[in-house]
Amino acid sequence: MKVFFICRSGRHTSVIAAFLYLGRLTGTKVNIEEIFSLPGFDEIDFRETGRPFFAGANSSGTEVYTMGALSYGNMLKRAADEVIKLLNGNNTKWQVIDTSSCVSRWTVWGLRAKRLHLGVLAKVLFFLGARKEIIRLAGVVRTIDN
Amino acid sequence: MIIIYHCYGGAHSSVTAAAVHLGWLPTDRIPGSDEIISIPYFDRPVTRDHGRLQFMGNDEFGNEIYVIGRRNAARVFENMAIGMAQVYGFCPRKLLLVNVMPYVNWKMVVGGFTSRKLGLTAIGRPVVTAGVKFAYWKIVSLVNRIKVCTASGNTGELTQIN
Repeated sequence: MKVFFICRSGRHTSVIAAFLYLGRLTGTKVNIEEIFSLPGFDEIDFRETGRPFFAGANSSGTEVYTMGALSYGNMLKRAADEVIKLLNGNNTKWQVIDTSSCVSRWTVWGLRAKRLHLGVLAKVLFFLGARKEIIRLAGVVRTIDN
Repeated sequence: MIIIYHCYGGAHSSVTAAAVHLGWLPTDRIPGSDEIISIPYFDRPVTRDHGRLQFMGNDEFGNEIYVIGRRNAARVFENMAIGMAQVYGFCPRKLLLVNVMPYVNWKMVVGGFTSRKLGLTAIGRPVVTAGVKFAYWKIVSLVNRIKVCTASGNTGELTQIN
């Protein structure tokens, strides 16, 4: 099975969701080192938004990817489902999870700061955002079929 | 090969390009309004259909032709589709994404918004049809370029076209 998590950038909320799903993040209380040590977290290239990033695989062989969708989460989820159906048929199971509803305002402001090259401010905002989002994401991840 | 024509709503420019590709519209004259309106899916999809692939048909070379509306996320959609092809081991040379938005004029934008978003089809449809006629030769030229390149197999640098 393949699981694709979608968020605005593909490198923040969806990365946290991916590692919650993979079991690397367990609690809902995290510190700044834990968040920024997640592979791929905040390694953003705005030109690559939309391209799936491989986050890892769990023991049952489920591959987990993250994708950016800007503010088109709903539309991109539908498009991703359709493109996968076209390329893969029904050979392997997949799930596309849109985590846009879990994105906090801190993360949105962090992305704006990042675009303005305000790196330190962006990091602080991403951390504050991650703390808020992790509780909501834990609920979303629990609903995913294995 | 899979060829996907994409534009904002997947209702006008991409559908016209697909119809030209499939030979449903002439390439030696500008079609009449009735011919344009009778294309399947022309001026039909609404907002909730954005992101849905619509199969239009197979061309004379056996290529599958699809259209999709992807709002203003052209690059995001193209990155996603190419990325998915890589994830699923699908040869990227067999997937061609054609952005038709550069050929969209203000009549198509205003007519499309009036017809699809505001639901005033009686007002919007004649305007968008006039816009399609205005952009017709540019769309035909784009489709001819795609057909020549796909027929010759010279699509190495054409995975994303606009």
